[in-house]
Amino acid sequence: MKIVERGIILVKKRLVTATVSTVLAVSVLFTACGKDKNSKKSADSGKPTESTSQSDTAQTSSQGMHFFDDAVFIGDSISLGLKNYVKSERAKGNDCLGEAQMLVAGSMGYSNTLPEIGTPNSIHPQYNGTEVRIEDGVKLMGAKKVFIMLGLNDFCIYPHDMAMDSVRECIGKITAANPGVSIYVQSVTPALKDSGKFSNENIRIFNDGLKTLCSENGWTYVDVASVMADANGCLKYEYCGDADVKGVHMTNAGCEAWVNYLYDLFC
Amino acid sequence: MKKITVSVVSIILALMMLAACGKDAAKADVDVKTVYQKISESIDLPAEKLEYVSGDLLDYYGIDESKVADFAGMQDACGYKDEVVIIKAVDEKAAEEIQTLLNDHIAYQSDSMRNYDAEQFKILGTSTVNVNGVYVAMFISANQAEMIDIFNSFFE
Repeated sequence: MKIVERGIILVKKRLVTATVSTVLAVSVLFTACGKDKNSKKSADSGKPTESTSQSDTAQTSSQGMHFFDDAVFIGDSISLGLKNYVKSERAKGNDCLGEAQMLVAGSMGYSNTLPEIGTPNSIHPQYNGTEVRIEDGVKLMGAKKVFIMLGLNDFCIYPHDMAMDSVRECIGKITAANPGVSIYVQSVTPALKDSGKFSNENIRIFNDGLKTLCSENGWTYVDVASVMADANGCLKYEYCGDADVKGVHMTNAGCEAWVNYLYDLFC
Repeated sequence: MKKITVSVVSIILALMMLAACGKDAAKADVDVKTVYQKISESIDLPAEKLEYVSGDLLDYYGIDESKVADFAGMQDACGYKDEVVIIKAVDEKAAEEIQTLLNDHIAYQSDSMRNYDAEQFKILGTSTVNVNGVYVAMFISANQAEMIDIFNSFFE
């Protein structure tokens, strides 16, 4: 009888010990996971010195992978490639920039999108097949975050100060029509090789101007160019989808690197 | 009298034949996915491309999919070069609307390429929308003539 009682006591003790151990182990594991996540975020927020907004980290921690759900990406032919890459990935069932939407048009720039629709040489994106002004498109899409990458069709045509005025005016129209929207200005990505005014030095000068505007206006500067450039500051060959032509458009590998950079930065 | 009778009969026969041809074109039952497959087997399409799925016709062309019975197509991954889209509309009225939207698309793309890519601008300048009954096809490609031939071959 005593043996049986001892046995029961022993089993009970072991059960308690096992339960306590399990609870402790699970707690330790959860703590470790939390630490990992936090340490990654602090590394990320420290990595891109170009990301100038202070509110990003707070937004990121609460939104995680859903950060891009209420975002719209505005851009020229380079972002047309991103749009198609994102759509391809989503068609395969992969998460790609959450539910972010795209408002893009080939050859669009900060300057040529300012005139009214129908003005000769003006360029506007389409929303469901209809041309819209950027600021109206953002409203139609209900976006709260605007990621914009334009410039290739500005700095080659207009003097620097005039191009910067267009940036200010274009983004000013977006924020005026969409109060409370957060602006993320993506740097112009590099070219495979220099070609006249279309040089990586001019891209760098334009991007420096964007960076200054961002710090003056509280916009976030997102340096996509930094992950696209090789050691010489040129577009990495494997990321270039039109090496024999313009040398500025991305392959799917380039778009993947772009998306991964955004994930590292914001998720 | 005999001559008049022969003439009238000939005219009636000719009209009947024409009517029959018209009926054939309108009633042709073509699988648009087969047409697209034939094109992709016969002509080098871009290595990196986006093949259209539901939602893309509205997104890229403003085409309401309630007017579409079936479709197939793709565009170059870069987003501003080759495009192939073959659509079976629900009826001929829908086909006309789709034709208008695709023509608008060519005009829009042409405007955006005017000062940007001379070669692409030239290709867009010769691009057309092809209609056969309820079938509508748009080919933006340096190989559009061959693509049109393949499309038309399904209605012969």
